[in-house]
Amino acid sequence: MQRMTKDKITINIEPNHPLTRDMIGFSLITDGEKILKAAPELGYSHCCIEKSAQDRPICQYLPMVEKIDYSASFFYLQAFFSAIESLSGIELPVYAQYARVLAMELNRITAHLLFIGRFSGALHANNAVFQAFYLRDEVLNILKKVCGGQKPCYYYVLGGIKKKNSDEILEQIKTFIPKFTDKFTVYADSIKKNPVFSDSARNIGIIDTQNALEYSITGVNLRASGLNLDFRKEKPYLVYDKLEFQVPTAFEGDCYSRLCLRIDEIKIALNLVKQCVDRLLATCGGDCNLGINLMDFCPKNGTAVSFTESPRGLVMCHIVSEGGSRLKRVKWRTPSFYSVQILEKLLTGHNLTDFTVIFNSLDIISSEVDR
Amino acid sequence: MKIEAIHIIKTLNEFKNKGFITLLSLIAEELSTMADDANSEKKFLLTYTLYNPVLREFKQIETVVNAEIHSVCTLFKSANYDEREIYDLFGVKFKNHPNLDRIFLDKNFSRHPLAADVEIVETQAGEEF
Repeated sequence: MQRMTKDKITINIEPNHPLTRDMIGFSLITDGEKILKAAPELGYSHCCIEKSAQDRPICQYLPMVEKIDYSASFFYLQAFFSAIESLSGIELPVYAQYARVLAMELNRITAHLLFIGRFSGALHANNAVFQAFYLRDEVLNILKKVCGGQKPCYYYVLGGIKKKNSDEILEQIKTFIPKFTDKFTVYADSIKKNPVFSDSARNIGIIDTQNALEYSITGVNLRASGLNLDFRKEKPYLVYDKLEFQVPTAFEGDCYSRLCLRIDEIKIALNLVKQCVDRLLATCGGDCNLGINLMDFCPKNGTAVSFTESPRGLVMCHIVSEGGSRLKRVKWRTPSFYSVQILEKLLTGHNLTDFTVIFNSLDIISSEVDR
Repeated sequence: MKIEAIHIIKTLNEFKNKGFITLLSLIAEELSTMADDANSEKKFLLTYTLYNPVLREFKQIETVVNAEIHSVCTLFKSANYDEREIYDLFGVKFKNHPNLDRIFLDKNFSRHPLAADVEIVETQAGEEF
């Protein structure tokens, strides 16, 4: 803390500070309790994800792809494989497409529950934190049955998925969904009607549509500002065009509407999981992968871009290949990198006590920002 | 669509007036390789991906630069961090950028890691890269 003039003070909120809960630093200039200027400091968890792709074969690069966002790994693997598959002209079997959507939607539920847990923690609603993590554990156990681990564990392979799910597991998911939906609805209502949430998160950190678009904000943060833009509908990949789902939108653009939209997205994801299980039980005859060995696979010469809607927004994977086993260039467009940028504008003029609420409401993951 | 580097502001401004108000991503790629002569000028390919939220259209604009280009921060606010990242990792300089500083790496670090002349070498603990 450094006193600048009579009233202005610079406060450094470093990554180990309990307010941030992530590896991002902030330098705030305040006048009393009012924030005059905020500057994020990035790079604390930079691990050369893009440089590493140039130095190793694709199969050795996969573990790094999973760790770009630890809570939504399936979306990054999908983005990476999708780019390579479109470059090499590989078409996935129908079974594999539904299985990938199933895993991704289960992952979306866990990622949003992690957000609700972190956000409740920021508001010191400790009971809600534990409930969110109990619910998340239940979904993670289902994810474990589907793909062998709470993390992807090489469930996605080039040209499909590693292994078919048995009917027994699919039936288990089918019975799990209504039970979980009931539990989650009770929990969601208790959060939405709770004055701790509605009083301290309403009317702060407002992003309007124009600003959201200029700062390239995507995902739930954009939809809370009134624009109904979801890349699952916009540029349908896998089988999203064959599934029925609505994209919830809010118009307030404040922290509370971002929380409510994530709760609604969990309900939609549960519905998508149910639809996928039904289709998987009906199409159990097809193959689950094309038997491509990634160890001696070389993508074709050229450039490809893939679009994936992750829980935090749009993930773009841009790859450049020269026909060898190593990629010449991999560029990740990560949604949190753009959400951090708007914080400079968003925090200005707010009270210091609103800092945690606004920061956590954008759902920023530092490993995604720094790559 | 390929354009020359000197027309970048003019072209992007035209597209912005047509409704392409979001710069989804800014991608850099080095065209020169390690085998090239050290004295030859470096070349980078920059790809601007624009999005029109009303017409729901995408547009990709490509340009080749020799280590310096005009910043587009005045047109797209999201370009600020994108350009800082490219300066940090590739060494491309952006004219008229409000705060062209390293974004991820240490300020005392001298090189730009994604440039083609930087090789990954294994180092022992405590040894300087």
